[in-house]
Amino acid sequence: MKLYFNENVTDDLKAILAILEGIGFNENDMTMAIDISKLRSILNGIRQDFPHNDGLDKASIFKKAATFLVYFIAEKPIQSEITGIKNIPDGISASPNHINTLIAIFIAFESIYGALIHCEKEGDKKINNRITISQHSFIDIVDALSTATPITHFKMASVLLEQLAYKSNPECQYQPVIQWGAGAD
Amino acid sequence: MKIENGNIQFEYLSAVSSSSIGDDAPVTVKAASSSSFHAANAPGEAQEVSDLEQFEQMGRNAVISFNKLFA
Repeated sequence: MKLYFNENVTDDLKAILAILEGIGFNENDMTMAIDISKLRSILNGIRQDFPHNDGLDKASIFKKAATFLVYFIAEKPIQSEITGIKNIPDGISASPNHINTLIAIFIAFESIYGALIHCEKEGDKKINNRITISQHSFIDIVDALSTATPITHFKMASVLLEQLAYKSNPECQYQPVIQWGAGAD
Repeated sequence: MKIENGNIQFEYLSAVSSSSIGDDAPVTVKAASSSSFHAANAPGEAQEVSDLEQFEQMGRNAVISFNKLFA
């Protein structure tokens, strides 16, 4: 079973709810409020009109993760705070949608880790290393994505996730061919 | 999370809807799953896990990761 894009939406729903259950485990005597209809809407939405010319099956893991990310942030299925996450920086908590943004980013990162990239020229490559990030960069990313919608942010979110993954897994990217501004050799 | 008699019960989640905020209800879904979880070889496939408990553990790890990041 994968985190999403399983054979049916119900399997996707079970996977995402299981993750949220694990996050909710840390809530003392409270439960996390989840809007199930919104969650179903997200999981249906990411399958319909997938924003890739060759369709869902031939899309990269980054496009798949990005489409989930922006739908989740836009729909806001988590309706409560998460008290188990402590010391959330002001730069993040100032956003009214920071909880859904945090969780969407986490799920997107998790879905990229261990993923296969099928490269026609170089064969399959696996993303073996987790994304690593500083607190400073993370705050900026949450700020930048907290108002994301599929229409406005899908492409940039896809590029962002790709570049973050390549930072920890440089062997997975296409060979860089130029160094900007270096002039002629 | 309890999986019993074909149903999954999530112990730490409550269901709300946009039209009835405040009306909490238990979160359950049918445990019946699709026939296979085979990995496709299409470009960009996420890794698979064998059971839901691994996703639940992933969620617990998320809180640990956030608390380390924000410490």
